Amino acid sequence: MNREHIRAIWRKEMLETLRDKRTLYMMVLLPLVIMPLLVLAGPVMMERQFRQSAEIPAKVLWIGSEAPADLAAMFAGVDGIEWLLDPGLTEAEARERLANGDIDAAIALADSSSYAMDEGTLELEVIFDASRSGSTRAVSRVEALLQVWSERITAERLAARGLPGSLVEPVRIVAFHDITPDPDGFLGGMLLASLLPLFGALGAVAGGMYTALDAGAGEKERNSLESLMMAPVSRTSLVLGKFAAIWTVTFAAVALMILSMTVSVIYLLPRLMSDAELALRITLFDALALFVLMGLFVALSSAVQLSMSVYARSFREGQAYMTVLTFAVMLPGMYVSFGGLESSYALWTYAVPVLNVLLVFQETLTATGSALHWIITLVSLAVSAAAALGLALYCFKKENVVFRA
Amino acid sequence: MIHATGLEKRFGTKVVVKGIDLRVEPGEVVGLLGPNGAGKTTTLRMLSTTLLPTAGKATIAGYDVVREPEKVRTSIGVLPTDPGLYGRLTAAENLRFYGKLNGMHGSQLEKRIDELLEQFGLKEVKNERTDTFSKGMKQKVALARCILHDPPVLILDEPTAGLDVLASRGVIHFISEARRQGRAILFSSHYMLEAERVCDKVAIIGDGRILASGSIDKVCRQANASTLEDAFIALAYGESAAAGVAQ
Repeated sequence: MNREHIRAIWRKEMLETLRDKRTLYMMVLLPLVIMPLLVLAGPVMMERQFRQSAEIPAKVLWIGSEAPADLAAMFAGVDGIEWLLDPGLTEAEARERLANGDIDAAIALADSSSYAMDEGTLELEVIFDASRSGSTRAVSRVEALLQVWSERITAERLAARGLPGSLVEPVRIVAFHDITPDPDGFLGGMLLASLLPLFGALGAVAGGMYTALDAGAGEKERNSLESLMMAPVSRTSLVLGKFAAIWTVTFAAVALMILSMTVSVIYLLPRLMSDAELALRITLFDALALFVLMGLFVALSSAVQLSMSVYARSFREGQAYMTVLTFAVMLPGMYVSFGGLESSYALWTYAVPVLNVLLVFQETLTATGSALHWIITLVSLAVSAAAALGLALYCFKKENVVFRA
Repeated sequence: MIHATGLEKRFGTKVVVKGIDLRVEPGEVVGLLGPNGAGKTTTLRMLSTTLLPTAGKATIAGYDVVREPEKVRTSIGVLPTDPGLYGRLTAAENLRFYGKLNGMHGSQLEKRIDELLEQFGLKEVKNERTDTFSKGMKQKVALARCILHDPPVLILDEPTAGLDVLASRGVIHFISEARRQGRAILFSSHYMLEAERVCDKVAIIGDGRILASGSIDKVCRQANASTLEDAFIALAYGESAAAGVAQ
């Protein structure tokens, strides 16, 4: 092993990488622009859509008979509902108007209704179209208003009989007390915990993919590997130089990804959304530990990608292997991100590379981690990264791999 | 300088090189001539340590190709069939990279790079990326890379393949110059005219075996032919093929 050789090979690979637009896209554009856009666009668009729809009044039509005067007055005086009266209209005609989109919901008095001001029940039928969000929203508003109206009538009836309101309200929650010590910080941590592991894992594969492909399959395809093998460089130095370059590029991509996602979720998202407040409260030690964790994970992915790359006959074959690797990382990433925020896992799962990174990452962000989980994870990653590096070295020493074409 | 005895290479059950003996001394150019698939490139790869011989022994500049591969590699300059340059690096960067791998650095390396680029007429394009170069220019950079560290042995695999007349002439001139400098040169080719022009000795290889070797006159006599090309056809393809070509 020769440090000068390792440095020369690392420098050559970095120079080639920095002059390759594909790598720059994966290393810089993807984490700094594409991923944050993906994360921010969804919630912001949803909120905008929600706000716009909240501003449009729901058209609710009363049909079949006269509505009780006080109920009609209440509906007519409420923002967010356009109250339409057409007692002469049949239910079939109302359905047709609903289907045409002229109204959002229709209300009719049920045949069984026996309502009077001081007794009986006003039984109503609501006609709506569940396939239209405007119609379901109208029904929700109608239900909420009817609830208010119902409570008022109940109170009036009880008062008329000299009875207290508590007679029909045996239970009532008067306050909610949230004991989360730092709700904004907890929410920020939870939100990041559901996103960062998956995106970080993706970055660990995609970030340095083209550098890895170039370092093995690319060299084979350009016929430069043979010349390099004839230079007075030990295979160990050769592999370490290439590995160091892939690690550098991938780690830079992952670090950019983590930083840009954190800034997007914690600082940009609340400012783009109306009144959300988020914060991230992790210690400097936790942050450094997470970077060490990702450093080891990137070492593992870099060594695996280098082995795959030199094994591949061509750049295209190498790309096919990398695609499989991406999916192999995405599956546990999706499981942990979307399925297991509050789950507890058996101790052995922390010995499984990839899965352990995602779990420990998530636990640290939600302040639920344990030292034992960290130790098992770091040892497992270090051992598997060393094994993967050994595999890469083995591949570079095997002539039937190097000359596999 | 290059001594090989009983060199053999198997890939699975297929024996590609079957006990080759070769000697190349300092200041000597030996042409390894054979048709496609005869085992030329495999032999050169064994001598340049990228393939391990299955049997036999070879030393280069006194170093064993199996036991001391890194020392062998410091003593050889190799030109593979394809120049294998890094297209996104400039001519100077390509040479600088290989210079560092050969233990050169600083002003000594920069001086040597400038000297070689001047010698090969590439000084004007020193800082241009090699993926913009013509095939002949790429071959010149690869030749410069070959002698960058001033090795005593050169191994050239079909150095003129695919080059135009002018570029081929440049390569032949390079080989002659390297011989004058006292280097031992082994090069493979299937162009007989250029072998006749530049080689002190030839070894004709067919089906993984040396069929004839020695000076051009000796090989011609052995094949009962008047030119190296006739001798090559008679030895590599058989008497009947030679007769067919004559008709």
